[in-house]
Amino acid sequence: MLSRGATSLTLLGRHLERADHLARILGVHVALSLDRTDEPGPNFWIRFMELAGWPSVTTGRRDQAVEMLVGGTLGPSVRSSIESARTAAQAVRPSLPSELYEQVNALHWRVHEAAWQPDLYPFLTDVQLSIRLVDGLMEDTMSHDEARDFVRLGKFLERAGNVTALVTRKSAELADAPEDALEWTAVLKSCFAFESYQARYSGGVTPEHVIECLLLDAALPRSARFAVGVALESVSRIDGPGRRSRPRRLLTRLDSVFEQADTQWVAENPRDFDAQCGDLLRQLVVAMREAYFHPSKVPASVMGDEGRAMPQQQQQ
Amino acid sequence: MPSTKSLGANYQTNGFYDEMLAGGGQPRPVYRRLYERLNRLGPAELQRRHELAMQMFRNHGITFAVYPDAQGNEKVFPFDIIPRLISARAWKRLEAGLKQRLTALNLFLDDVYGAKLILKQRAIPPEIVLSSPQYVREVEGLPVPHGIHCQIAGIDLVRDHKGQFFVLEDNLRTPSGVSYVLANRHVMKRVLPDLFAGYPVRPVEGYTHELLRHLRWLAPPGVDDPTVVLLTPGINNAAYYEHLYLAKQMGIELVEGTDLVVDQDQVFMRTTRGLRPVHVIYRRLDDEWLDPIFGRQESLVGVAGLVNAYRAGHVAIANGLGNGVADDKAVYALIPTIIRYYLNEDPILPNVQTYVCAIDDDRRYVVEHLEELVVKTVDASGGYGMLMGPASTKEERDLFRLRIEARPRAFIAQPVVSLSVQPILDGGQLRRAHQDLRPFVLTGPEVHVTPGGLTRVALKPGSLIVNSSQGGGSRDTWVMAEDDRDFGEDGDA
Amino acid sequence: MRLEVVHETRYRYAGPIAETVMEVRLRPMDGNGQRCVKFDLDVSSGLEPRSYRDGYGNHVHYFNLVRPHASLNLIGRSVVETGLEPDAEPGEELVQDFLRFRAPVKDVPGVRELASRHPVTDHESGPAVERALDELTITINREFAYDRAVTNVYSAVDDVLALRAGVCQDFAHLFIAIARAMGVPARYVSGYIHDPRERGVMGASHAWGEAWVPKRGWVGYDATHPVRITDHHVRVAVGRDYTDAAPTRGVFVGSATGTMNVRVRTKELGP
Repeated sequence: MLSRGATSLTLLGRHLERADHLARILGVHVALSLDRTDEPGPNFWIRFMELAGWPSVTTGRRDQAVEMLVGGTLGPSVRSSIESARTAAQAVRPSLPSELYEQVNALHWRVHEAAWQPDLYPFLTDVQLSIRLVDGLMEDTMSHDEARDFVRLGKFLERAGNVTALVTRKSAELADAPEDALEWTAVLKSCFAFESYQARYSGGVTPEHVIECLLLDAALPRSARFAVGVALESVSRIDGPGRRSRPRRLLTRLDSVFEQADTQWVAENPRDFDAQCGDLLRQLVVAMREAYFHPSKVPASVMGDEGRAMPQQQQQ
Repeated sequence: MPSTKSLGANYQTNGFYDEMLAGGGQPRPVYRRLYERLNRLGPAELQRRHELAMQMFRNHGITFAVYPDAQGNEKVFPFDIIPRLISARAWKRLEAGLKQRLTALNLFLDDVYGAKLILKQRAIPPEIVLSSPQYVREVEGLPVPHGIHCQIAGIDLVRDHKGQFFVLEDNLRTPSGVSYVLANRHVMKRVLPDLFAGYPVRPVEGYTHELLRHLRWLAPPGVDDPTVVLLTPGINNAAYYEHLYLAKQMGIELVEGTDLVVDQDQVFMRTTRGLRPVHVIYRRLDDEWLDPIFGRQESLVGVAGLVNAYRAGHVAIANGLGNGVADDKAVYALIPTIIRYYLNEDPILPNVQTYVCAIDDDRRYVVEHLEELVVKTVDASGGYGMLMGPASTKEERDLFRLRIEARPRAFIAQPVVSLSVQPILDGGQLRRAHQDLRPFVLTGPEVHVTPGGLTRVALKPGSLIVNSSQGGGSRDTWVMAEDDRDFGEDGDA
Repeated sequence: MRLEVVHETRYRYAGPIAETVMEVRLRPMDGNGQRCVKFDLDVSSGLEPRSYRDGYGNHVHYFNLVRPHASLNLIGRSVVETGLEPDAEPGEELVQDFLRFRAPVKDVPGVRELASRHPVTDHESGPAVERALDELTITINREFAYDRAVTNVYSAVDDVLALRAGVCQDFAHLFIAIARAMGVPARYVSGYIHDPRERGVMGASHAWGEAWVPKRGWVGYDATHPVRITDHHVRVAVGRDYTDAAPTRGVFVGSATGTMNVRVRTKELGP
């Protein structure tokens, strides 16, 4: 399929997953802040914003965090992600079933109209449910072909990255207070995995089990390892039997990193694990660009995709 | 249950030629059966069917964007469920006239950008042709496969108050509207199937098959399975949904300029499996924007080097370059002479009388008779930039007079043609509306005319402007495969 | 006169770019008193340009480069004989498209005013047309100052009229606009001028106008100097305006900014 189409489909998957993730962690952390006996200090919110991808926020207040995460423009927000998803969907409208496009479009307009004021929770629920609906439409009405593979590739790479970052960061943060069950529960809820965890582990919430569940479980759709597996599967289908592209090789490596990881080691060296995965994911972005999105032998060293006129000089 | 009075009881034609109802609200012979059925369905049911039809259009994705509304939704092209019927006999003549016209126009384009015999022999005034803003000297010397410059044309036909057909305008560059022809028929068959019974209506759905066949035929020699693409300016173009629709129906890739790259005079498409060669491009981009090396340097929607690849014979483009000189409205006035020059035949389809302001006598007549004339700029489209003489104010006429004197070559004028009418269904009542007809003509191994074409209807009461951008709509157009004895004379001239 | 011209163009980009697509019009024309004896085009990166003749009769070379690069050098070398006998036949008279106005050659009141000061007494008479154009050439030279600092490559005729100054490209556009307003078909010429006083080294090529004179054909007028074309002029390409005849034209893909450097050397060769 057209490279431009593949790019947009991948972006569609990524941005919807991102919007879902942001909506969820916001909801969970607002609830967490209310579960404590005292109002959490600014540090709580500063750390949260960092987790959400806003690294240089200095004032930590709940209302500020909510505003920025829902509709902010200077960093990742629910609104900006949905907007990017819709732009991507428009670009590949020929490849999408019309109901799917219409759902994305309708969600975009609801988010745009600042429907989150004054009730945050119904709004966040609407966002998450709509994204579930789009997922369902994709599975059920879209042909299981290359186009769907690119969407899944984007979605699951985004998930793998977000979950890994979330778990390892919290792991590092909570190294001094590993018994804080409330915080670890929040981690699970942020990944939509609390009930799955409880079904699997009976001894309460412990750091090692959370790591095992969210990072290394091969069967839980919310785990990073599962996500990497789906991404690898998608790329294998995209490539076909004869081709071993660089994205495929990188994903195979990443898959084995997760397969061979030791829970204890990850618990003790969360930042190293995060760095290792993050590095492979970054290489993967470049590799995907070269293999699928911009395959006219142009390496990533060339910035900018637009055509421009060459300079001209007057005749004197 | 039959209604107590016929739909056409209060219908007035006011002296216009009505396609469907002759004097006294009586349907013309070919419409008799149809009219009976419409009356049997009655206004309420017809309204319901109309709403169903609009719903189908929306779902089908046949929309257009003029000024997209705040929701980013596109508008559905307004539609009337009463079809237009054309007898086999009448169509036979129209078809022959269109084929003749396109044959002559292609010969003209090939000559004007080649040997220029018609100009050197002064069979037509060379100044009129060369002063056209659409005469593109750069096209000279470009080898054109099979000598065909215009593979896809849309010719606008009108009928006067006597029912005689005239050619109003030629569209030889990027004519649009055929997607509505296909969609209208698709919807009519599902929403009002009972109307079709007993009418041998010629199918239109073969159009995309024919178009694809014509496009594939253009491929450079030696290519067994050519890759054909449709090049669109993108989602911001008013006709984008037609581009999408046609590409999907033909099963070809819809590409934008950035999807293509030219390397060593070959055109490639950027795909996830690398660069794939492209052999034929159905382009819906104007000449100026097609290639920044050839036309406007700032074009971001074109493909750099495309024209040189075309020149080298490695890619075919439809339509060819420089066709605008033949649909320039001043050159339009010369087409009867052009037909005679190349084919030694009289034109089968007449032109509307046209005054070319570049010619002194014509200009003098025009500025003195502005209230009676329709004045148009030679390269406008969409019904903009026009003066409707009888409906104009003195200020408007004065302004136009100045503009004509300042740049006479830019204007032509025609007497107001009282376009024929046909009833539309408006709130359960029949109301007359003016309409025209745009058949589409494919020129390739042979010349093929789509049976019927797009009937564009001016929906604003009393309006003569049928363009979608200014309140126009359409209806399905049925050409009979053969004429029943019942059809009798339908008054076509 | 036998002249050698070396025209170097260098492009430099702040970072790597992709996919350069270029056309150049560097090979001098044949005919109308001139003959191109030799022409070579060197493109850095060892590319072999292809060529064709465009609708104006210009010799065009073109190429594309799809791998990343941050610079590009072109060198056109030609040997030209000038001052030869003009063509016996004036050539095709179908030149009315050169009466049309199109930016940068615009039909503005300033142009009409200057045209009215140089009426052509008889459009069918060659000498009458030439007389009016000679006077126009002198008028432009007298009333507009040569100044490199005021216009740019995109300037149009109304800019030049407002500034009353410009360079050869602007004077050529002005000449063409006024000639067209006078009812004389006119076109743009891109080329070189050999000026021994400059020791033959210039930072740019040259431009002037050509007008269609009945029974003679295209005659060149250089408003910068102000003279009719001499054997010191070398004609390279023609068109409606600079954009048609420009020595180089291209697009590239990438966000790096580019700069351009031109050097032209002319030398008179022995017989």
